[in-house]
Amino acid sequence: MTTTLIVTEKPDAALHVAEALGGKRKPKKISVSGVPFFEVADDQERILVCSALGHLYAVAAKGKEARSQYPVWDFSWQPKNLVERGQKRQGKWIESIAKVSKEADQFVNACDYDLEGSLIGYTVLKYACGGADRKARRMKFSTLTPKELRDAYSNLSPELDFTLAYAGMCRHEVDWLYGINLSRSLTQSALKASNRYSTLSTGRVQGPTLRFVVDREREIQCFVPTPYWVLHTVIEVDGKLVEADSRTERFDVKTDAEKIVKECTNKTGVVEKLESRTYRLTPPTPFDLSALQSEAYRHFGFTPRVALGLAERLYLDQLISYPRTSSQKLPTSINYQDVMKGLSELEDYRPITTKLLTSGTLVPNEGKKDDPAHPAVYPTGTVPKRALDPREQKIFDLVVRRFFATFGETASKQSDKATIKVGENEFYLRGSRILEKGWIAFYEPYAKFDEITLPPLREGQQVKINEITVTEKYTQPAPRYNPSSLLRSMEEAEIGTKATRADIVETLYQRGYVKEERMQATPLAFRITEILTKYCPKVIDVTFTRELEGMMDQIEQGKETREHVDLATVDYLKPIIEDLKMKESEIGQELTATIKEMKMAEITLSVPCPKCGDALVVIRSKKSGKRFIGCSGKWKTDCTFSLPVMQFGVLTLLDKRCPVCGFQMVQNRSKGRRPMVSCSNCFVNRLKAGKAKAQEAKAQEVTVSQTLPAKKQELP
Amino acid sequence: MSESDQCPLCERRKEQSSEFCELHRSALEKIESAYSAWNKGYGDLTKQTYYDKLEDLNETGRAVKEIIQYFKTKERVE
Repeated sequence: MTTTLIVTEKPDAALHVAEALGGKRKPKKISVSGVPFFEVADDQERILVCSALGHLYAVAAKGKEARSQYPVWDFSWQPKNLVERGQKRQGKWIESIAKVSKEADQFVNACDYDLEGSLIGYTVLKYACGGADRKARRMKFSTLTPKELRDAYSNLSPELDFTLAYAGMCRHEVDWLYGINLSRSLTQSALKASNRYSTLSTGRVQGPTLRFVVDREREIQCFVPTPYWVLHTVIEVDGKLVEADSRTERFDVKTDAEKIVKECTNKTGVVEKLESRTYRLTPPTPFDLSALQSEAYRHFGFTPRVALGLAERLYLDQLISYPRTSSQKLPTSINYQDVMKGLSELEDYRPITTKLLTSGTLVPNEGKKDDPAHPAVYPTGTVPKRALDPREQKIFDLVVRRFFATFGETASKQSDKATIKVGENEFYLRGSRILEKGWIAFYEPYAKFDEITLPPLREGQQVKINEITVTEKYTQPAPRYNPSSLLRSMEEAEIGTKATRADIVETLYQRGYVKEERMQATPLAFRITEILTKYCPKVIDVTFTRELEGMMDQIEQGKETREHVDLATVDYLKPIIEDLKMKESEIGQELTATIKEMKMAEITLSVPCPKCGDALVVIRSKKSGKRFIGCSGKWKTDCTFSLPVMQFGVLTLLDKRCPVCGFQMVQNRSKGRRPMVSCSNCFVNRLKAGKAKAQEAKAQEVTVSQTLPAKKQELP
Repeated sequence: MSESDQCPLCERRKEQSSEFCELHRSALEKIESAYSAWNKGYGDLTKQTYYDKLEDLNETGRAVKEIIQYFKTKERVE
């Protein structure tokens, strides 16, 4: 009898794999030092399925050196619990897998089929299972549905996808070389100059990404608007008022617009021409990860990281396919009919699935992008077995309706245009309506088109100018990035991967480099970018980062070696880091003032104390360790004004004012939670109101009890 | 960095050929180059009115407003 150890990426996936391979036999859960393993066995094979917890191994410096020391060029892969704080659980996991692996004679990597998954499985098999990577096989799948898992197990690749794992390793190593050396250089420079510790970081992808935000902020800060003028024209057609566009959409000279107003006020126009055009609106392409993240942000305001997290939960629940994909293609092998039949169990989707299943051949409108590992994101056809939380439900509905829409027919829209002549001046009445809804009907409410119906018109008809005025407007600065648009820019610049981009955006917030949802670069972000531009411009230039991405892609294709890319990185970074070390004090001086200013700004509110007018600041009590908003006048005027703030997460003072009381609002960001925006002043007011109500109720209770008979039995 | 090396509007270093740092120098250039469009648009616009209008607009960048305020305080507005 053979014993096979299957390594999956997460505990939920381990259970699904065991259930699928066990068939009708329920997997037996075995606990080894608290780490779950699932066992299924028949006469010939005993299968043990275990899971990693994401990465169990990480790159770290060789030897025991101080955390502040740099440059560091020697590294090795080490158990995460030994090199990172708060990773004790990972240590227990590694020990248990190592122990169980001794019973196994066959090994399978069943982690997600992508760069990170291949690497996670590879490191576990190599380091925890005593070099089992050499004899292990690879299980490839895109959904966790029983059928696909069974098929994947019957068609195992004879060996691991080493090139993918090596490309993943190399990415981690290169990022570590960049991150550890540059971040330590910045942190140490600031520490030596100011004697105060601040975590400053930058990296191969983080640096160029931050530069996008800083460059945009610079553009906004230096923006000079220019005026232009537009006409607001209302035309009366058979008693109905319709807004019209002028032939000249915007006037750069005020008097040009005023001249037309003078010529057309209270005048009658003639309908000179009526035109109609029909447009085709092709169905959307299936979701790749970035399109899903972008739509989730547009419709629900979910950050890319949140959207990815929710999609991954749906994947682990077998509801959708693997979300970390670049593909916009849906191969026929996923069996469109089966997916739709499965979804017709849900009442909301039944009218759509019925329509699609009876419409003849199903052909999705695929996009150009492809991913060799996975198809586009699609629903598996499995119905949720538990009540999804509202956010999960939103993502699920979006994925399902998008899937339907890709099979829909082309929609058509008619645009109508009436040209009105008033003397020499031309105005246009525009209308539009959907002729054929096609795929739009399947993608509602996510596809919306405003329809404007024009009143009946005929050529030569006379119409009256009811109102014509000039409005002054100004050009607008470029919009600030939001997490979704920044992610898109990273993708366009080809930096980072679909798996890492969302985390990098989040890091910019955690380091205090950006604030607000519309990402505003802080003075620290300006300073870091300026320093990097001045002392090591190549580090924040996307060119080399992109070149490295290309080299890593080549490792994946077996055309480049990991060792060569690592060496090239060290060769590239060595002179830069050595130069930075020589200029430590200079850099430190430049950073210190900004850090001090930032730290003060971070805790100082823009609204003054309502009692004494002094500045309000966020203070941490030395006695209780708790933070609160207090008055800085306490030491001058003995003002005792204070307000509570949330005790968890990273606190950011927002520029936003409370719509109820006008007090400055605060935001709490903590890992795995949605940012919470609140008003401390309103919180206190609500508490006071609640207390007053409770007291009033208590007082009423007393009055009522006093008027009630003393003993219950005396009641009638 | 000595005070004479510092931009009068922020803690950054002055550019060699300018009174300001790179950010504020860039803002100043934008103010100067946009004046002709404003003047043409309104027909006749004094620089004083131009600065006043820019200062009042939400769209105007922070660095631009800082330059205008600096000019006003130094009474360098023509």
